[in-house]
Amino acid sequence: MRPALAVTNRSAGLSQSQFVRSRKRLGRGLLLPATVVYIVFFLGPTLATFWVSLHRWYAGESFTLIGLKNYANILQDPVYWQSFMHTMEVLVVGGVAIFLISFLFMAALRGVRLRRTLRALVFLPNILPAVAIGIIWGLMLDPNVGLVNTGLRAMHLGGLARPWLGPDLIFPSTLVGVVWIYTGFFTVILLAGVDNIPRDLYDASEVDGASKLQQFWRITLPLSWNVVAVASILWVITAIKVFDFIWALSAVGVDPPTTVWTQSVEMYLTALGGRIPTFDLGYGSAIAVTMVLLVGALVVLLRRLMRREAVEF
Amino acid sequence: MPDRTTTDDHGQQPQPILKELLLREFNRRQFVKGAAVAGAGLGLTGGVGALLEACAPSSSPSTSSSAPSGTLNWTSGWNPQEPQAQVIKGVIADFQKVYPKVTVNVTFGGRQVLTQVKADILANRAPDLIDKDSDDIGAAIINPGLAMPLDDVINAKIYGESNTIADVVNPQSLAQYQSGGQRYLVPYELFTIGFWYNGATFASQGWSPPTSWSDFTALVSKIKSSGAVPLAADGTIDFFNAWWFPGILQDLAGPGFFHSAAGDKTGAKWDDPNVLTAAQTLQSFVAMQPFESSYPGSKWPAAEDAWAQGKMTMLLLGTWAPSETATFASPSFQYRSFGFPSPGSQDTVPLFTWGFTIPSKASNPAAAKAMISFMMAKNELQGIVSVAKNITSRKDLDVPPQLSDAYKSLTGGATLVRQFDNANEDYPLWWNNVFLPLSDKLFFGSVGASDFVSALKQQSVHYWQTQG
Repeated sequence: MRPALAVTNRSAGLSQSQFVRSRKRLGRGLLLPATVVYIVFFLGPTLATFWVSLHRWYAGESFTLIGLKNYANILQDPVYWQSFMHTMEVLVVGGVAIFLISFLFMAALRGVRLRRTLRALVFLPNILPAVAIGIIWGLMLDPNVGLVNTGLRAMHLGGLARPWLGPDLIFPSTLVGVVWIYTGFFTVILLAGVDNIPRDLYDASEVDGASKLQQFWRITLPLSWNVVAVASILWVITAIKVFDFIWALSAVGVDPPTTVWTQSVEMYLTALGGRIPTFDLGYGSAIAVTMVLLVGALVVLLRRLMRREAVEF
Repeated sequence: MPDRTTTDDHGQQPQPILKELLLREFNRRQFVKGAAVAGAGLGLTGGVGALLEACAPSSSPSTSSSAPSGTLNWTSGWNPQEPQAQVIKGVIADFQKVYPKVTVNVTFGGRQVLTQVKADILANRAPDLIDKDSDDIGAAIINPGLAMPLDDVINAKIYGESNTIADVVNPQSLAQYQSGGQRYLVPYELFTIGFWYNGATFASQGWSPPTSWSDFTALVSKIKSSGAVPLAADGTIDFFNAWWFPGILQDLAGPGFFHSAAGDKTGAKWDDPNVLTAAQTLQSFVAMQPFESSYPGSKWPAAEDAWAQGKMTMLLLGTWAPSETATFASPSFQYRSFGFPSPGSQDTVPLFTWGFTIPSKASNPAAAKAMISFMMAKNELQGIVSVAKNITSRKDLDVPPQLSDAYKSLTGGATLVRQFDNANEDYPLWWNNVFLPLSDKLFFGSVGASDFVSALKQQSVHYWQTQG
């Protein structure tokens, strides 16, 4: 009997592995279109960008292999490092501000009436076109006739009026605008994570005498950690890519001044040009590759730092 | 004579003489028929042509066999709402009456349009005609060898006139885009810069336009003492700010020096004493605080509009100042101007233009050249004076009254020079990445003259090293 049973089990095992193999083949087949799209529209252009970055190439002129010279020039380019520092300021300073304000909104919007309406209002800046916001902010920040300084003077706070678009303050002004635009988006993401936390955990903590801060630290943050991690990664990508608001705020018939350049703005002006298009595609591609490497490194770092065991509730 | 006795590959004789005769007869009949048709056609065409020739103006090319046809794709650097765009629309309407076989598609893309234009040229989708400020066209299209020579249209008669473009256009403006004996741009609008003021205010205060730098600084002090703000500046426009240092340096060291220093890979030319003197001159002027208090952050066009409303006394701007600020000026505002006063031995006046170029990859250059010739006609170009209130490149067209002072500075014998010594055109990356940021720092008073010069030298040398 045993041999028959063994034969039966063995044939069953063979059938199972055939089934698994055929399922794998089917899976691969179903993944093929998406894989092709990914290779053609994402991986391919990325590799092509890296290849172009190894060349000196002004569009329309000769395509000359120069190896890593563009990267060597980047290392010594003060304009690039200024743009890099501005990108880091958007990432770190902007990120801290956005998440702090988002957590405050989170705490304030939980359990209040008209929560949905208030949530929609907070999200509104993210819906408006960034170009339109940039233009309006630029008008508001004019030192003589803009709303900000005019309002300060009307409130007898003229001493606080500043040339917000001058070379010293234009970047901080831009940063405030970026925070204003994106806070609503991240608030909504974090609120979605917090909404899943059972109410009775908060009720129980209130009974135990926990303060709001303790509730946030002991309940809200740990139980929404996965959502916070995803939001952080999204912010890293957004901060490094942000372009449209900066351009609309600072470019008025002329190219934005270097005092407001981030890496994305410098890459655009180098590769495609503003008022006078230079089309330095080799150097522009090298800047783009450094941005990709930066995003990749930061995403990997964030995932390691924010990894923790899942909390079941 | 063809051999009719040869055999084909199979050893067979081809059809004999009959076929040959029939073929010949067929051909003869076809020939006769064809000749008759051609003759009739020629006669008819000639007759109609003669009729039309009699009715049309003497130099109408629209009825000639070389009249342009097809689509003319025209990309303009004007914005759709600007008066020059309205003038162009009128020119196009007139052009299409004369050349009904040409369909004109015009795009008013604004000042940043060359990014798209250059991409289109490189992708073999070039427009047939481009008009924009010539500095930008020079840097983006002409210098990289993407434009075609225009000597044929420059030396040909203007539509409806006995003169050529070369006869009637300001010769210095025409010579600016000449290379290898060929010209690549037809200018139709001229610009210069000047200090604009309200003539009525000056008259009531007893102020006079200065003729030297020391007079200018004395005037600024007088205006400050009266409690008024001497100068308006929209500091967020970096190339407006850049008029100061290169302009002073052109007056001190002569035209061409700034350009040669910009292109000097060793940086040695920045050690010339005139460079430091120019920087110190500007530094001292800025230290007088002649501008409105928040000028570094003034977003264009706030300061120039405030000047037109009388809140500041003078404004350094191009000859578009009256047309651009007219809606804010009071009816009694008298637009007057004086040229950049020279602190040196030279008296230079920058001349820059707005004009046409045709990409070498244009698919319909004939229509584009016909359009250039048509728009350069006096009756068409007059719109730039009467509607756009600007100066045209034609010597025989009047200028708007508000621009008569500026026109005198262009034609009064001063040395006409290229704006920024053309360094912005020939070295656009150096201009954007090295010079403009430093120029702003000097203009805003955040760096001293010596630091400015040493940073300019150091960064210029570094820039040229990275260019290989």
